[in-house]
Amino acid sequence: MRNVGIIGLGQSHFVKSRTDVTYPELVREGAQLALDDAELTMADIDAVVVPLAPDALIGIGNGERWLIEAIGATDKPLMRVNNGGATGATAVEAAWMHVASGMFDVVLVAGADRVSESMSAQSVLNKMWDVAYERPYPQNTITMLAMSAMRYNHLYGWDESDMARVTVKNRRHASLNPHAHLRAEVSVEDVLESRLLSWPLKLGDVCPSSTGGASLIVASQEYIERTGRTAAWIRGLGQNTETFWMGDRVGDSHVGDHADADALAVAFRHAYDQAGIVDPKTQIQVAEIYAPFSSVEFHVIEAAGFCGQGEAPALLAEGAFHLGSDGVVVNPSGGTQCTNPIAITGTVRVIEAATQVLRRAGDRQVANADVAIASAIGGDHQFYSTFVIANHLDPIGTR
Amino acid sequence: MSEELIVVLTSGHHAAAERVDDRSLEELIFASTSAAISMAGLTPDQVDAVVISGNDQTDGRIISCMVTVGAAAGVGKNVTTIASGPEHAFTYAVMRLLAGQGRNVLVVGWSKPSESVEPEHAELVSADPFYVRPIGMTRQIAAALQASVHAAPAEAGTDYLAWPLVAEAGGGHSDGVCALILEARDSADRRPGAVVRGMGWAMDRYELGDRDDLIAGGFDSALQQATKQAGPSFGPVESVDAFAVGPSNERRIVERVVARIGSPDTAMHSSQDELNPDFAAGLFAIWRAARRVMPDAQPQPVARAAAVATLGFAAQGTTVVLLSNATEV
Repeated sequence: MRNVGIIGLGQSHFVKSRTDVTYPELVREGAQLALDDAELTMADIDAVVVPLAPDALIGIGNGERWLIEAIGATDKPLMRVNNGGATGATAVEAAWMHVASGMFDVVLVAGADRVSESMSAQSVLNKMWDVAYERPYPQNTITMLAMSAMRYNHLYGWDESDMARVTVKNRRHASLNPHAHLRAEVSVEDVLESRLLSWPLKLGDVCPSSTGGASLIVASQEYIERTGRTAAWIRGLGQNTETFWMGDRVGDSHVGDHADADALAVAFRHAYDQAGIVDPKTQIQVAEIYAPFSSVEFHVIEAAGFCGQGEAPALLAEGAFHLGSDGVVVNPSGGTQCTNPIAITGTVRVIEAATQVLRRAGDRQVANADVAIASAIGGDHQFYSTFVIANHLDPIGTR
Repeated sequence: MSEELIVVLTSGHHAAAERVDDRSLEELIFASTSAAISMAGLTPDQVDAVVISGNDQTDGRIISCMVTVGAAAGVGKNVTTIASGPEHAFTYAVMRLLAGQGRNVLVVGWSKPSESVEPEHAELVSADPFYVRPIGMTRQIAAALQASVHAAPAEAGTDYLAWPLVAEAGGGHSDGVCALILEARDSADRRPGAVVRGMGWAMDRYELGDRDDLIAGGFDSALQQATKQAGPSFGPVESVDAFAVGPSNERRIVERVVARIGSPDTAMHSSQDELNPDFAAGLFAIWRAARRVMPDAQPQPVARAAAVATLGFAAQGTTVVLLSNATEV
C-alpha cells in the first residue's frame, strides 16, 4: 500500500450566506485556494472527488455535474461522495483510496456548501427520516441530538452547564480562527440564557448554517518526494456504520446506546491500528472532531479514547481539551459547533488537522502538534469517518 | 494496476420491472444484496465493505443511504455512497481492493421511481436553476437532443416521445437493483470470475451547448485510462455491452468502442431491449459484460469484454470497464 500525504489546503472564510457566487463558483473558490497552496494547476490533477450532501440544501440534484467547467475538471475522472454529514471526510478517504490504489498520483477533493440557501435547513433535514415511523414526530437534526443529549446526561449525571462549557471553549478557539463562522466569545451564562430549541439544547449549544468552499489535495509519497514537497501524512483511516433505526439504540434489546458513540469508537480503532497508535492520550496532540452540538463533543472525545465513557465533562470543567492545556486539544479551530457547511465539514476537519501538524495554524496552533485526528459523523450518528494525520512517516511515539 | 493483486467480479444479482408495487425499495435492495452475497459463497458478516449508489431525490429521502444502508448489508461496515453514478461506485469498489482495503466489497445500485409521485421532477431539479431547468430538461429530453444531432427530419404521424426518440425507444422509468461482489485475488488465482483489467471514467462540460462531443462526454479520456491500465497485452474485445438513454445514442457509443478496441467480429449487445433503472443500469451493463467472460457463459464464453455506460444529461459522463477471464491475466 502506498503512503498518501496532503499537499494542498484551501478553505473559505465561512459566513451565513453568499450571494456573490453560485455553487460551482464557490467550489472553484476552495479548489483554487488549495491549488495555489500546493503551487499546482488543474493540469497537475489526475482525478477529482466531490463531497456533496444533502444536495437539496443547494437546490440542485447531482450538483457535481454542474461544476465541471468551474473547476476545470473536463475529461478528468470525477466522482461524488454522499455519506450525509460525514461526506466531507468520506471524500478524503475516497481520494486516499484513489492514490493508495496505485491508479492516481495527485487527487483533488473539491466541495462547497451553502446551507442557508435552502431557507429552512431543518425542514430539508426532516426529510432524511423514514417516511412511516420517524418523519411524523417531527424528527430533525436538533430533536434527534436533543434525545441523545438527554440520554447522555441521564446516564452519566451531567447537565446543561457542562454542555455550555463546550461552547465557551469552542467559541474561544474560533475567535482565533479567521476561517470560522461564529467567532464571538460567549460565557456559560450566555449559553444557558439563549433561546431553547429542544430541551436541553439551546441556541448557544448548536452550530450555525454555514456557507463556503473547502478543498485539499492528496498525493502519493513518490510524487511528494519527487517534487520535494512537505506533506501532512494520512497515517490511518477508518469508517463504520451504525443502524438507522433509533428504536434499536434504546431499550432492553438495543444494539448500541444513543448516549454513546460505540460505532465511532470502532472507526477510531481502525484508524489507530493502521497508524500504530496504542495510547491516544499520549500519542495524539490535536483532535479536530465533528461535533455540531455541544453535547456531541463529549461522547466523541470518549470514543476517541481520550477518557472513559461519561468522564469528558469533568475533565473539561478542570480545564482539559483547551488550547494551552496539557494533553490533547479538542477542536482548536472552534470545530463544527462554530462552522458547519455540512457537505464539507468533514473536509474542514481534515484540513484543520493537517494545518496543525504542518504548524501553520497561527494563533490557534497547538504546541508540538505532530499527530492529529479528524472525524466526521453522518446521519443520526450513523456514518463515521476517522483519520490519523501526522507530520512524519516514522513510528508514532509518545509525547 | 498492482502486479500481484487482481480484482475479480465473482457474483451478481440484478432485478428490474416496469413497476414493483408489492415490495418497498429497501426490500428490493435486501433481496438483491442477499442473493449476490449468497452466490459469492459469503455471509453478510464476511463482506468487508459496501459501496452504494442511488439518487436522493428519486428515493424521496434527503440522505437516502441512511435508511437503505441496512438493507444493503452495511451496518457495522465501511460504507461509501458514490452518488455520481453506479458505474462510479463500481470503479471506487475496485480501487478499494487495489488499495488493500479488505478482500471483498459489495457494490449496490438502485432506483425505484414508482415510489415517486413524479419521477421527472427529480430529474428536473437536477438541472441547473438558471438555464437548463427553465426549459424543462429531463433525461429523455436530453437524450432526444443528443440523438437529434444525427437524426433525419421528423416523419409525420410518428409517435415521438421527444423527437427523434419514439415512444418505444426505451429510456423510460423502471424499478430495479443490481448488486455485485468483487474480490481481491492473487494474480495466479485461476478460479472463475471476470477479472477487471482496466477502467476509466470522465465527464464533459455540463451545458450541452459547450460540449465538443455530444455522443459520449469524456469518452476518449475514459477509454484511454482503461486501455492504459489493461496494458498492451490486452487484445481486442470480443463483445461490448453498453448503456445509454436512446437506441441511436447507445449504438454510436458502442460503434466507437468497437472501432477503437474491437475487431470486425466484436459482438455488440444493446441494452435497449432491457429495462434500465436509473442508478442501476450502469451496473447492469458491467454485469452483463462480466458474465460473457465467465466459463458458464452461453452460447460460449469470450476472452475479453467491454462495458460502457453513460450518465447525466445527454451522456455527460462515460465509464469504460474492460474485463477478461482469469486465464487471460
